[in-house]
Amino acid sequence: MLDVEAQKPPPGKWTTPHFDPRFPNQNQTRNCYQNFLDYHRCMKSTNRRGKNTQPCEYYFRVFHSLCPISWVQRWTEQIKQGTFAGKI
Amino acid sequence: MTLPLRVLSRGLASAAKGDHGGAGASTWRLLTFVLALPSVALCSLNCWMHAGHHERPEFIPYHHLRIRTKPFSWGDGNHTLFHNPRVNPLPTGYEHP
Repeated sequence: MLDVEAQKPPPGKWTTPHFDPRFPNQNQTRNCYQNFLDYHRCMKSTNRRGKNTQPCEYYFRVFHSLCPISWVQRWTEQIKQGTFAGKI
Repeated sequence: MTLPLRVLSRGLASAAKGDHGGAGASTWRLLTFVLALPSVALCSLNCWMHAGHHERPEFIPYHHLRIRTKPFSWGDGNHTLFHNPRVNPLPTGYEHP
């Protein structure tokens, strides 16, 4: 940890999600959930059509910035068990 | 506030038959036997036609349903008050296959 290099952020340009006018207020719960759903729907449809899933990375970045980690863990666990309540 | 009330009362009385001769008892008795009771009979007939065993949905242990944060105060604490074993699953699934 004394190494100067180790204390720098990983290389690359990291930005937080831009303002989304669909969710203008302080409560960003739906923003997190919507991006989570969009990421999984994007992955499902691009995998079904055999296309490149790289555009889905945007949604991944957004919900990873916004969502509490416990929510993401709970939802991915539910998806694995087949008890996720959202439509993917 | 009186204007909406007046409009509403006009609508209630005139909607049924357009009778403007005053709300006498004979009017309402007629409406009861000619309109209300036949409607009840028709709706009951509709219910009987749709009755019978329906196919029950498959059980998926969703976390937002069948929540038990505290046992119920009756029975074994796990059955709702009007539990129907054929169509109401417990948190773990239907009781009989």
